[in-house]
Amino acid sequence: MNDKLALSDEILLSCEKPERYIGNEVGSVTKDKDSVKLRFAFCFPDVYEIGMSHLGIQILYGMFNSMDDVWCERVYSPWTDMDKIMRERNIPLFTLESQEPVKDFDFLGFTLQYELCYTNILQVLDLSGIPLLSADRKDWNSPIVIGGGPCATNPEPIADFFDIFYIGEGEVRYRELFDLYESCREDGCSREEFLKKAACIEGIYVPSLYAVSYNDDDTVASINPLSDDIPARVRRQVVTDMDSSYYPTAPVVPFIKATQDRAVLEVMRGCIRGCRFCQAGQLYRPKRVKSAKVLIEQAREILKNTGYEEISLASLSTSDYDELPQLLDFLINECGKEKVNISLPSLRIDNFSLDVMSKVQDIKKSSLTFAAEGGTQRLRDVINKGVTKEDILTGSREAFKGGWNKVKFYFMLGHPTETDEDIAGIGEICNEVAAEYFDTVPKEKRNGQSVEITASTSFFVPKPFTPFQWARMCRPEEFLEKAAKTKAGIRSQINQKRIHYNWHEADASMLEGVFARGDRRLSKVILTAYRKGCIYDAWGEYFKIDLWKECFKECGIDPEFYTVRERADDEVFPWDVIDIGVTKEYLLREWHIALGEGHISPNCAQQCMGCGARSYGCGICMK
Amino acid sequence: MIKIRLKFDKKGPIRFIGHLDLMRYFQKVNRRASIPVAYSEGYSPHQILSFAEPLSVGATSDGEYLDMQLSEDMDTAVLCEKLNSVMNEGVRILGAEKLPERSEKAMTIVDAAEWILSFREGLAPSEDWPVKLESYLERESLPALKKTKRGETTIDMKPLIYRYEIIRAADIKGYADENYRYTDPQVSPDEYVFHLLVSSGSSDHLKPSMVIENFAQDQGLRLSSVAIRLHRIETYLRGEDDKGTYERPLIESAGSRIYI
Repeated sequence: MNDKLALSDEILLSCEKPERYIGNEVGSVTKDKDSVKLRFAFCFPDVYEIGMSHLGIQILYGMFNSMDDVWCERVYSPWTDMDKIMRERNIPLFTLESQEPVKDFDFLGFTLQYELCYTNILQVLDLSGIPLLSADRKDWNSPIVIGGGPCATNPEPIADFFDIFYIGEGEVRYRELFDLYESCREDGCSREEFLKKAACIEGIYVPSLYAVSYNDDDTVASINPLSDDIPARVRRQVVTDMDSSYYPTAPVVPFIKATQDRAVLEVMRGCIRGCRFCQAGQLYRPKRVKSAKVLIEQAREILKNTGYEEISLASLSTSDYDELPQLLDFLINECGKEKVNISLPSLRIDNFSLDVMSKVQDIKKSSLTFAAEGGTQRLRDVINKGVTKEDILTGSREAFKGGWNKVKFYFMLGHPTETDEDIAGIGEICNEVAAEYFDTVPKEKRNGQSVEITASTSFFVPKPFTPFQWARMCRPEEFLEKAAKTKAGIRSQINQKRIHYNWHEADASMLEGVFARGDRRLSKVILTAYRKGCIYDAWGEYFKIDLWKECFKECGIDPEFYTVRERADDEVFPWDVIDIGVTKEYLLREWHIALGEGHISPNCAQQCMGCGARSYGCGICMK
Repeated sequence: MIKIRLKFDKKGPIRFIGHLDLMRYFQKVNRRASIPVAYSEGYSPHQILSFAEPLSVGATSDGEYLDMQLSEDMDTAVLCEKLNSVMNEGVRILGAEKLPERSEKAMTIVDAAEWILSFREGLAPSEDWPVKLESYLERESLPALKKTKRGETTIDMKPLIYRYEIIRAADIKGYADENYRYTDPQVSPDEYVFHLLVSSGSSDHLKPSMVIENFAQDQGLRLSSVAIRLHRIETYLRGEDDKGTYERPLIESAGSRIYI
């Protein structure tokens, strides 16, 4: 037990949820700091409950701590009340395990899961007393600031704040990086020398060693390494064998209810589907599975070590997992005895098994959620969703027969080529699903209930490394107009009373769009916004769009340059310096299909489309 | 159904874990230790657990109690050992007792609690508070305003304080357990602390901090809302035998009977 706390009782008793700051959770690791060579502070730049729900940190935390010479600890963004107290009293930000200042660590790692956490990165650096700009961290007095995760595949908007980006899956190269760090420190190398050497490790991107030049129209002309010994492009690292890869079977179990309050079993990585808007579907290719045998072992261990009452089968599309029936049979049997629930997120409406669902979920309480993404068949084909209207109606009918009466559908507004007809289609399909209920379930079997359909729309944000990376993004006003049309479309339906509609915030999507496809020049906007008080932008109540607009203006940057501009086929993108395996040529082909005939492309299980991920020599590509 | 009462402590950083989270913690502990704990019937079965008396966030304790039900019999020593092997540091099972089938829940029979109150660094209301408190407590009656569901009523705290002393932390002996010694890294052994046994539970419940708050108010002393450091030594139930009315720890083995 670490009895020493960084915060006084007085502070902990006057803040919201003191459990966020005291560590000592089951599964947290304490080591003797004098017996390790390298201390790594791992940060999820959002509040504790969100950060603790993230699988990636749990994996790397466990893996790093399995190394004798490394002690990895956690740190999260202090909530706004604590942020204020720490600034007023000059309390340096600390890690949860040792409760010691982050500034004294060798590494400070950030996982970058969404663009709207960028100001929180600056909050964490600032509260730690670490210079915000990489250029101002010249000696060993500051930790090496390293970022990873999906947003690191276009790290350019935050390039100025980071010393290193790790591109790809952390399991692969960290040991090599740590060895280099330890030998550099022993040899008395400078920070600069270390960074130069690190940049030669595969998957390691040191942004300060690359120069970006721009065309007159402000697009990127080139991104080149400053010297010949630095690789021109940085290749994303992937785990080639999931079964033998490290997986944490004794993860940290928070005392307070985290957003994901359950054991997580990662069944596979990657997705075969290739939806044209989806970044994860391209980024994590190829699809690599764990065997049911290994998963069963891991599930047992995790449940034994954590005591969780629920286990979730995680992946991008769990119904695409080949051995799902065997795995579920085991889990249903084993978990039933222990009163453990099974949760199956990420199911597709065209291949989920109702039989399975009714076994694992409490029909009375739960609702089934499906991503339809587009209102018409034409649009669903353009985005390569591969789900037909028939699939949606059949899937819903099966669900109603199985006893469910709550169904949720996700749609996106603002896809390329979208017309009013596609928007009207959202109301129509929801109406048809409701009609399906009335046809399927006779009155006497409804038990005084009726069907409840929820349609949720989010706004489409074009992401790097997707076929839609060339696409124009809508303005907030356009989005809101589309949402209004969607609502009117739903309200004009016969079964409109059975349909709830909700939509996302448009201004936040705009900012997300700017950062997603942004370049290095945005670092100064983010810095300015942070200085003016922007923080927790992903939290509606703290998002200050007017302040952001002011900052763009002050920095002389037009946000619409990044959002509403459709890119030319041959435009150099800020993220072209990163090689994710999937090639730009393939993405462009898909983009042209979307704009042209708009037909769907076969998925990886049906036919190889030559995306480029085969170069990793693993997973479904080798089947 | 086997009814078991567990005694446990709560110390260190875990003192900041709230009551509901501690409940969730114990549910997970039971699963980790593969305890054959009984579940409620119905659509979402849950473990049948209940605490004797919630401890406020920030307070430490050597005398917390939890009632649970098992679906199969188990030796209490084995139970304690199994639980302690998966317990987070800061919470430890100190003892267990099997209860008769028809026994009432701990939360309904709690009748008194033994506390140590001290002041957090720099937050004592005055330097000579021990002397002042001593003379305050000697009064005939100690009127205090108590918030109830219907508003406020005036109560007399005096008869609700069964025993008390103002004493050096190192000199404390437990009222029920002579061998009990108080140690807290935040409290110096030479520091004077307020040791008391007060009425607790649903009727005539006296929050120990109320005594200090009313004392400070009476003396015109300023008291920060986070000034009082609370530590529970023991939780008691009331009984009667041929020697009279007594209070004793919620499990018999935790200490002797105090006649009041």
